[in-house]
Amino acid sequence: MDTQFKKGVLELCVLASLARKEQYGYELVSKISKAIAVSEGTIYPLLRRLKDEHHVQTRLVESREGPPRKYYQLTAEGRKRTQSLAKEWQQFTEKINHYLTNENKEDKR
Amino acid sequence: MNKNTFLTTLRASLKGLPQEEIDDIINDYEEHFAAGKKKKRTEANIAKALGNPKDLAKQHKASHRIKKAEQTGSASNIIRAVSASIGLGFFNLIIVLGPFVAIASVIIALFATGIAIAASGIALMLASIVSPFITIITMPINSSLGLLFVGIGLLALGILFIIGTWQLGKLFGKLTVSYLKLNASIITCKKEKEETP
Repeated sequence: MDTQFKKGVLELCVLASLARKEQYGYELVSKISKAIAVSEGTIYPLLRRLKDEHHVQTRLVESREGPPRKYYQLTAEGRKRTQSLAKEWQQFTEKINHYLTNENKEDKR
Repeated sequence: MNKNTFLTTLRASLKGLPQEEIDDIINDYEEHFAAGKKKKRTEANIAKALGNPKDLAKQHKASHRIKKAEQTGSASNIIRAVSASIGLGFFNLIIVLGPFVAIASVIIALFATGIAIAASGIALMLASIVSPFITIITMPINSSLGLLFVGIGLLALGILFIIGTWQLGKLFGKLTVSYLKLNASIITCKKEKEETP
C-alpha cells in the first residue's frame, strides 16, 4: 500500500482507536500496526504531536510490576477532530469508489 | 539490534532537541520495550518492528521544529523546520524549495532596498543640515530646505518599505509553517480549523 496513503490515514486510525478506549503506548501501537503496516516507531512521534495539539492527553498509571505506564486518551477537541477526519475519509473514499466503478462501466461500452 | 543500541542511536540522533524532550521520548520507547518483553518478545524483534531509530529521530525532530516555528514565528526556527521536513523526504518540498528560496530572497532584497532608501534619506537630511550651501548636481533642488524635505521623504519611504516587508515576511513565514504542517499530516480538516478558536 502506498506510503502516502498510510501516512494520512494513520492519524485517523490512532484517533479512532483511542476514541473507543484509553490505551497505553505498546497496546495502541500493536493494534494499529496489525491494521495498517507501518513501522511501529512512527506512532510515537504522531502521539507526541497529537498531545501538543491538545487532541490527546496522557496520564501515568502506577504499575505493580514496573515503572508507571503512560495512558493516552482523547480530549474533547480530539473527539471533534476524530469525527471530522472520519467524515472526510468517508466522503473521499465514496467519491473515489464511485469514480472507479463508473470508469469501469464506461470502459465496457 | 538490541534495546541499548536502539536507544543509544535514537538518543544520539535526537541531539538538538531540549534535554527534557529527549528524555521523555526515550522513556516512551523504554516503556515500549518493557511492555514487549513482558509479552516474551526478544529485544531484536521489538527493535526491528519499531523501525530505524535514525528515521524515528528525524520524525521527532521535524515535529518539534514545526511546533517551535509555529509558536515563535522566527525566521531561524522556520528555516530549521523546513530543513527538518526536507530531511524526511517530503518530495514535493524539493519542488517547492526553489520558489521558497526565490521568494525569501525577494523579501530580503526588498528589506535591503528599504534600508538603502532610508539611509539615503538620512544622508540627504544630514547633508542639508551640515552644509547648507551644498548642491547636488543630479538633483534639481538647490535649496537646503528642499534637500531636507526630500531627505525626510526618502526616510519615510524607506521606513514604510521596511515595515511593509516585515509584515510580508511574517505572512510568508506563517504560510510556510502551515504548508509544513500540511505535509506532516496528509489529511487536514479546514472546517475544523474554522470551528475551534
